[in-house]
Amino acid sequence: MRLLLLLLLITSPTTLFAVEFDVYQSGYRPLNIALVVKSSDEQQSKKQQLYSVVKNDLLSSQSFKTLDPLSFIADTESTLKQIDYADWRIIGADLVTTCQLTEVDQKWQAEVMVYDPFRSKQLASKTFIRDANKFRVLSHQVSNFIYKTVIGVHGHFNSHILFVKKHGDKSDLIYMDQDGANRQTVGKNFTLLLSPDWDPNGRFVALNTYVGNRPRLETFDMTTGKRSAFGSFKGLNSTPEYSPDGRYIAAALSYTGNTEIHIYDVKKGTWRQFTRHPGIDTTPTWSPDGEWIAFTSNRNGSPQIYRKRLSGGKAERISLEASYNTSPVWAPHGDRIAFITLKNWEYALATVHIDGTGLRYLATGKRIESPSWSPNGQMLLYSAGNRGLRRTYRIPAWGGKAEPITPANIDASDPAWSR
Amino acid sequence: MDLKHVSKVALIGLAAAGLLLTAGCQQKKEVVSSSSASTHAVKHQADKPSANSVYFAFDSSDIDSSSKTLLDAYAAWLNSNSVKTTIEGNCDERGSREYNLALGQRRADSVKDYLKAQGVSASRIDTVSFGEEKPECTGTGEACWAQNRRAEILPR
Amino acid sequence: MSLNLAVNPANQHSLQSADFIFAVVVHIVVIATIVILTWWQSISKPEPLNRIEVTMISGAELAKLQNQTSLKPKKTKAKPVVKFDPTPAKKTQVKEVEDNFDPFAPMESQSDITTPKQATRNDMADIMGKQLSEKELDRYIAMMQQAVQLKWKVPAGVDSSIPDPLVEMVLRRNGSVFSATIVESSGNSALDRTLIKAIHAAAPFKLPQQQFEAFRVNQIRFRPLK
Repeated sequence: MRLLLLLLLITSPTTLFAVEFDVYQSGYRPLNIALVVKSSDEQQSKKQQLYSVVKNDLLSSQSFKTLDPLSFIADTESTLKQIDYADWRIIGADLVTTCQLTEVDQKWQAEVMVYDPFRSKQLASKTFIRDANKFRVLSHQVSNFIYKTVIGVHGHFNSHILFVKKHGDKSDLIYMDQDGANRQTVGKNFTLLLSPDWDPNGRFVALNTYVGNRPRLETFDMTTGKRSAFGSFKGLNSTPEYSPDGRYIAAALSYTGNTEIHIYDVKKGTWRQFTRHPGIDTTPTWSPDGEWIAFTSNRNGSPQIYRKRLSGGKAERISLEASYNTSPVWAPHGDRIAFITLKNWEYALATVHIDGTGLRYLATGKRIESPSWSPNGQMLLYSAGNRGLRRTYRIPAWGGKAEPITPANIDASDPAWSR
Repeated sequence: MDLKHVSKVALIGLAAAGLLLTAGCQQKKEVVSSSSASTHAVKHQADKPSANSVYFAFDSSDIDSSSKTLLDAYAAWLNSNSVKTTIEGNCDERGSREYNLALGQRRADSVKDYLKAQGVSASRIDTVSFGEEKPECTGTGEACWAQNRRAEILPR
Repeated sequence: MSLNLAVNPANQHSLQSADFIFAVVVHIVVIATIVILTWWQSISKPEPLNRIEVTMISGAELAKLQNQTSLKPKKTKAKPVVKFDPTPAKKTQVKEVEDNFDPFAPMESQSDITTPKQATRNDMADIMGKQLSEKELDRYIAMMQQAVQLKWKVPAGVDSSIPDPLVEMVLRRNGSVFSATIVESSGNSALDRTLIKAIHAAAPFKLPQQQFEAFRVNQIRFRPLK
């Protein structure tokens, strides 16, 4: 009998009373990371190079702060042999990354480990090997690995950036690594060069230029330097953007009598009309699943952002505030669109959810233009500047500081981040 | 009495001859003037206007009355000459460059439509937009911006 | 805890069945009241706990309050969180269960639960929760919330399609963390790690010593910016 009672008591519900509450994120804060790199004595310069490339990458994301090596309590050797977590907790490290650099048959090998000193455990480890002439690529791989482990999203550190440098009446197309290294002129002396767009494979660039005093659309092969026109209709040919699978290019043409969005089939070489509405429809951008195109339209009086299915149907308006919203660019992860908006009397870079909610202002500036997403959707590029020289800036998509990535003495506009 | 009669006849004859001659001259003159009148009329009615731009209000491609006057003159010139023209549409620096390309295009098209309505053949009018890329005035402020919001009519 | 039933050997049989029936009835009443409590709790959930009035009361006042409640279990100044009025039936029932059992006596520090004690501990939690006024409960919750919020470091943006993660945090009497486990993951293990870290960094939490039981188990829903 008593046993039965006991049984009844045991089976009675147990976790009934629990306090429940919400914890809200109050902003973004970088994590403190200690970067420990080791190499043999003869390879100090390579060690320094890797260290500075990785440090710069992590800092540029504004998600990390690198701790000053002078503040380290533990030395490199002992940390690599057997990490003492307490030594790192004391100096406030949220993360410790060690990297052992060795040269193996004309190749460089980097053995990377990421530790969480707070929970005293290793989070991940990986070894990377690259040819000697790809040392920077190797370094960026290390950055990507740290980023993915800690942020949970792919790093963008082996990506590249194009921008337009105007000098006098002519414009050049400039290419560089996302950290500014390897800057080179890949296209020279265009008469007006606007809105370059990378193809997803990174080989071609679709661009808008003027030849014989007429605008046209061209694809530019970065490996051969060959240019080939794919849109030279009467009137306007502008704002090209490749589809996510690279099979199509959407653009704005006006030969039908007013500016509309048309889609070019790259393989077939044919065009089809996408929007049909009096008024201006321009600056198309593709959703990452290729099912939608968002664009600017003044069909309701002022320029606003709309989206329409590739399969047809009515255009839906996305932008809900302000009297002027243009230049939409769909985020690679699909849930937001970056665009230029009029905020009070200034133009601003902003992002918004596809349904129009969650409006977030990121930056204002004179002549703020041309947003472009990093491949992982974490950062945005844009250009801005007073009369005179424009600069290209980079800002985290979640907020943070805008940082210039082009020098102050050249005119840099129309940035395009590779995919 | 005989001399008076002769001189009278002579005078009448002279007068008649004179009249005939002058009549003929006049005719000639008329012929000359009527043929030169056709070329002359063209010169007078259809000079190329010296001004080459019409201006627009902000974010608009509507052609106002002063623009119409100038465009009428251009229409006349175009209609009586075998010339071709390109209309270049432009904007001020406000707003995004990409959208302004389309706005400039609309301004150029607006002028073309007007000229077409005045009888100019569409094949003789090309349109190009430069958006805000080729400003007349590189300052800031409405005085400058107003100058940039223009469509230029240029001979090809 | 054992059940001390006075058993008269002479009338063993009848007494036992009577006892048994009584115990079952008692148990049914307990279960019923607990069910009502959870139902009551769930309907008052819509009230967002993130905006909380914090009222400062001195330790002396708190002690006074405790004494009051221990002397007069029926009368409470403010409404108890679980909004349950201890009925005579409950009181009697408690007495019936065990003569020595005083729910209002301070609990000794105990190691982790052994199953037979489960029911009692939850009763304790209920009772502790009821002892505190709604304002006090909110105050302690607010302190925990603020502490975790302060220590929660998110270094980058997250996809807006991810679900808001849920963590169960179990505390010790001294406010230190006994365990923090992900109940509902965000789908991003790196983000999940930041939650656990925030909880550990925020500890030890300030908890009322006598009503600690009410705060032993906590379910925290984290709301990342999207």
